[in-house]
Amino acid sequence: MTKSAISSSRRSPATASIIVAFAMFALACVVAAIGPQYDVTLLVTVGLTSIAGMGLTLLLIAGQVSLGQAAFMAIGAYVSAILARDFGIPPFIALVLGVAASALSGVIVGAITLRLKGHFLPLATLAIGIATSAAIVAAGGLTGGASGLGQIPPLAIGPLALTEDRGFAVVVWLLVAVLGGGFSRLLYSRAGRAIAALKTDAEMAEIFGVDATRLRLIVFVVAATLAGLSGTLYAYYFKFLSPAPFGLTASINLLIACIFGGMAHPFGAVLGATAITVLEMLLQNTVARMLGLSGNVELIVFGLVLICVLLRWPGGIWSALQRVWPRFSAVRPGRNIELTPSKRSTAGEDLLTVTGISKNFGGLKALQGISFSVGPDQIVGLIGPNGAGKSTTFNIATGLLAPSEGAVLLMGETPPKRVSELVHRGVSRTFQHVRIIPERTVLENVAFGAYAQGRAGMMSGMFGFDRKEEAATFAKAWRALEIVELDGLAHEPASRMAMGQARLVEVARALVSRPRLLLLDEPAAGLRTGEKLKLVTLLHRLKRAGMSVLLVEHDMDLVMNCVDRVVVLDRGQSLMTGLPDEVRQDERVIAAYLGT
Amino acid sequence: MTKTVTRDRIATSLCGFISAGAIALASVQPGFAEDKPELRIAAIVSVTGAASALGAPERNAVELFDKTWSTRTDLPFKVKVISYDDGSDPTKAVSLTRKAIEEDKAHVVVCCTTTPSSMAILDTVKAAKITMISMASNAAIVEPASERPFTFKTPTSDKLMLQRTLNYMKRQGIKKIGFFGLEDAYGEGGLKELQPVAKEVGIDLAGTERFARQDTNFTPQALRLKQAGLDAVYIHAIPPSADLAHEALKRVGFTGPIYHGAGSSINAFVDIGKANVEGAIVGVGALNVYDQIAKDNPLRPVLAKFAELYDAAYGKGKVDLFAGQSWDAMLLTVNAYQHMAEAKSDDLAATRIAIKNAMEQTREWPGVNGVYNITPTDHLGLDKRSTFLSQIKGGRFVLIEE
Amino acid sequence: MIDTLLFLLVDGITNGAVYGLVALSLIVIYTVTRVVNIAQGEYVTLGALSFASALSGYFSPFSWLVAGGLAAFAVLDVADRRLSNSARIRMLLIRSIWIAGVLATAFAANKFPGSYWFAVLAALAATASLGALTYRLTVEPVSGASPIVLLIVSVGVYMVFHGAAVLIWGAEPQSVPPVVDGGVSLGPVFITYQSLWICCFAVLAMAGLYTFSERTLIGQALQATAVNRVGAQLCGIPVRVAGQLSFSIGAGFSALSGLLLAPLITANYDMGFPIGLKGFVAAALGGIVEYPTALVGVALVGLTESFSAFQISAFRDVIVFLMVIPILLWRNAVRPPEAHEH
Repeated sequence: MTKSAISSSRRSPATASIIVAFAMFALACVVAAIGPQYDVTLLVTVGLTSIAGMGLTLLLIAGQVSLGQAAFMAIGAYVSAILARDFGIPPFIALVLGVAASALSGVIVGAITLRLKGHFLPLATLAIGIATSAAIVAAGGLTGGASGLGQIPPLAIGPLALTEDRGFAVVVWLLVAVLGGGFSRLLYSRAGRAIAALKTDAEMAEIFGVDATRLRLIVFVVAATLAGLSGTLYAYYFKFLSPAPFGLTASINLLIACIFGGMAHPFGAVLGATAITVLEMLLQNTVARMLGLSGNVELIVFGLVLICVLLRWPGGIWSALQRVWPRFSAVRPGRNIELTPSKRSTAGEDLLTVTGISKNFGGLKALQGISFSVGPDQIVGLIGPNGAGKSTTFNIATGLLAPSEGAVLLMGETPPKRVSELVHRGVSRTFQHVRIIPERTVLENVAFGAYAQGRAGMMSGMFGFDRKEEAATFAKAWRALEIVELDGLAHEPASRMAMGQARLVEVARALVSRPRLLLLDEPAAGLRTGEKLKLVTLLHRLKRAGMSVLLVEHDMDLVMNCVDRVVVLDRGQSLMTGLPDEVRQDERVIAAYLGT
Repeated sequence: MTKTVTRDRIATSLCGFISAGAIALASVQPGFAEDKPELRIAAIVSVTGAASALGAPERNAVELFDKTWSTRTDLPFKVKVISYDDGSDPTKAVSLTRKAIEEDKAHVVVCCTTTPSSMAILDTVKAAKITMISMASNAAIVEPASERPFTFKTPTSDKLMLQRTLNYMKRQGIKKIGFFGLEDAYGEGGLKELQPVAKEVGIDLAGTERFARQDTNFTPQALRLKQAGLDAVYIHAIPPSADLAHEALKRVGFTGPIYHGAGSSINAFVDIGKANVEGAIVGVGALNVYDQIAKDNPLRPVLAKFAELYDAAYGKGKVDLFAGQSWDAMLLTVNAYQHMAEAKSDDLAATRIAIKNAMEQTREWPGVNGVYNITPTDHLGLDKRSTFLSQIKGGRFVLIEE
Repeated sequence: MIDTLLFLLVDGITNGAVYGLVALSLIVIYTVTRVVNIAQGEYVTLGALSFASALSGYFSPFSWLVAGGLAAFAVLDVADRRLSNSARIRMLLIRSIWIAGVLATAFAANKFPGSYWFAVLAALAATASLGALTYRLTVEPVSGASPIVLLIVSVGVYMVFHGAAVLIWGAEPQSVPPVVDGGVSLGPVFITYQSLWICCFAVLAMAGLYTFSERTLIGQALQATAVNRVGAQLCGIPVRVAGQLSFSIGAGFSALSGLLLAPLITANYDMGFPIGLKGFVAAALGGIVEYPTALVGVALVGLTESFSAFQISAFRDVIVFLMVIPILLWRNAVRPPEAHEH
């Protein structure tokens, strides 16, 4: 093995994740083997918190917060315990059923609450968490009520029973390692990029083919499932259940562990769970013994930790480790691949036809009788002064808005109902206000554009069955970056891009989705003169490659330099449609522009 | 720029904090006696969390015990008390019990305040063969003794108290009662015991209503009970909710007698309820009425001494039932240790078993909760001599002579 | 039957009034600072406990802590280099008067044990100042953060307050005398005067705050700070002052509900949290922004609780808390919270 090969493999976060996961497991095995019984108990507790915490972290990465995660732990724990104890179902099957019950309740709760925006979601989960605790107490006949449920049989598969504490710890940490390693790998996969995109901007994610509602639900269910797994294991380890460890406090503690450890990475949950336990022990052993005040001091200290971390150190412990953690990188492919539109359009057929559309907002007529079309290998400019209705036209053309009157034909059909279908029609776009995933690299942002062409799901993302597909994706991403001449910045975090660069990253991301029709929403805003020239060259190049472009732009000069046809809007009406030269000389256009 | 500096500083100080803690942790090792053997008792009490109203006085009594016994030099052994708080969380109770067993090398674990915590640690103490003395009221903690050989408890079972209360009701001609209790483990335990006792005595339990400790409104449930046409209502709760439930019953116009379980037998019940709870009939331990019971009752000097000690430390009139539960647990341990059949040695495992055996030999031992007669089949050891009935008159618990 | 109905109605409303004051506090704080304050219930607790101790003539360390915190921040604020000398003097003066006020009320209550109104003043002054202090410490440093971060921060604040309450006052409940003993019989229903007091205060506070925030310029400006910082600055109210003011008002109203409620259910360390949560359910109906709708929410929560406690007492909390889900869904459909707040 050559030296460079070693260093490049070391640099991959996926490799690092596997190494860390393995090291965690090995360490846990050592503690389980030689540590005192008490440490083994702590080890199991930390492991169980980590499992549920990783689910919550995934939820946080997707931009959602749950304050009722312990409710899913409770459902898993109680379902499996009751099934195994009172219905004589073999413990292992009961465990599976318990986890399934958590997943199912995740589906139900998620389907109901995930449409809630902003702070409504945490409030709803908070209420569900409290209601679940109350329901467990109220249904005392089944759940043992507040006094608890004892005599839970040990976890067993056939004659193989897991009664030994140490063995249990090994099993728990095996799960922590597998799930932790898997989720870390997932972050950098197709699904992981989509999850990160979801947090940045759901609408943007949909443009590239992500079904945001579905993915959000999937993440929520995964989090619920992990919480359920943690809960069922809790039941089989302690063999006694009561509502107390699944109350609001538990949900809050889980959240604290995730935030303290760092909510950007699944290992943050493990770090957080460990740190909280260590802190708790310290408080018990030192402060509490001196003052005899343990519990309350603990509460105060944890509260302070939570506040301080959020105020001062929002990345948690993980952010310190992230400096030594390898950045994501993908090797540049040797051979050159072509980024051509997915399907060559048949000659003569228009890609986009807008006929007589109008749009009313309440009493206000935003658009009236607009008609134009974008043919194959054509660049069409949509111009007009502020408030002319450019954005509305743009949104109607992509199906984001339904027109009050008139019809839109996209690739010869009506626009799809779901935004996420657009990309499958061969349509892609950029945004007026840049929407890129700030915490990911430029290359990953661009690679996200290929989402719709991939099929690798979460499982293959976690366990590496997506290597071939990922290689193809990144080859395309590199190529797109070369086209926009940003390949030098591929491994820089996207948050460091200047405005002009960020816009080009958006163009590259759109290119990777291999559109036939590319919609550019004011791509030149904030660009310097040199960058604008580059953009013009780029547009010509795309046209040659067989792409059509609809360009909404403010900058008259830029539009005139590259488009085949111009549509001029003014106050919601189509002023004229024609060749650039005709438009340039039209008096009405000049009046409209100078008049404003 | 300043931000990264602060971040670094925080990171450094955090690392420092953790490593300092680790050192502190490593240095906390149980010290072994040089000459005299040491009796180590770990007391795990719910000082915080949902059960802190019970846990706080229990902790006080543990501290009082620690102060009076650890400093004694006239004994042939030394006493060391290790205190923990499980925050009313069974998970924590389990890990603290293991810590006490493993790291502190305790001989006896006095745990826990709540029924769920006590139930949660059963397996742990059984496996470690160490005596556990619970302060929770549920009889299921120690029954059956054959399955829970190392588990004992000090509070009178709800069953004994209920038998006395319901028999008294019956003599008063009460035929139909309602249960009005907390929906936590404490209230639930009471209800579970009440059902069989009511059947046994022949009283009809015609209504069951529940409330939570932090509720602000008890009227709807009280209304329901009133409409059930009951002769009496039995409240199983602790103050302040016991007082509030009592007041709610009166407010909706319930005129029958109102009985209370032992949870109300603390001074706070009268302090909070004041005139509203006049006439309430409360099942009490001897502690509330120690100055009213027969002069020759063996409990009298024990109670007087405990009340005097406790009130001296924590204020006049502060002594209560819950304090007595941990106090008895501590003293039962000492008693068993003194009466071990085997010689006191440093052999931890042997001593633990010896203490358990000695516990089962406790005979006619007067404690705050009553006279204990613990046997291998009865791990509570209290009989009806531990229960009394009292009525609130003029802001005092007045013994009802039966 | 009619009696029962009447009883449940009256009780639902009087109970709702308690949640009402808390819902009100939540709205004041949310509209100005965009903080969904999970810790709100703790101000109820602190108000009640500090009131109980002030009434018994015990000078609780709570007032010292608050005054100390205020002093520390006064020093920091006055040392701010950007301030002109005259502004500095003015600030020093305001802060000194403020601290003196907190301590003076506490001393007065200490000197005249049993004096109801001194105790009320002491409790309100200390708790309201704590609100301002909380804003200064936990919200101002991250005032640009997303509402979700602010929400989690408030969870931390809840933990600190909750732990501190037990450390200062212990777990024992303290009984508190009512403003006026006794009550009035409304047919078969007996209502304590204390309950009537609470209702009065809730309605007055609701009306007052509504008028203040919707009809006065300062009120409008306060609300504007949440939406547009520059605009608020132009109205002459610095964001910092607006935030501190809203937290003070919010903490003060919650403390008021706590000390009014204490005579009915005693003052104890964990009385506030469930009240705070139920206040949320009520405020959610108005999206935590509208006073009139919140009033409906308050009545709804109070009545639902009362009737479900009568029908199936075991499941009443399940019902009350699950009620928030349809409420939020409805709010979300009608007027969703701003998705991209900055």
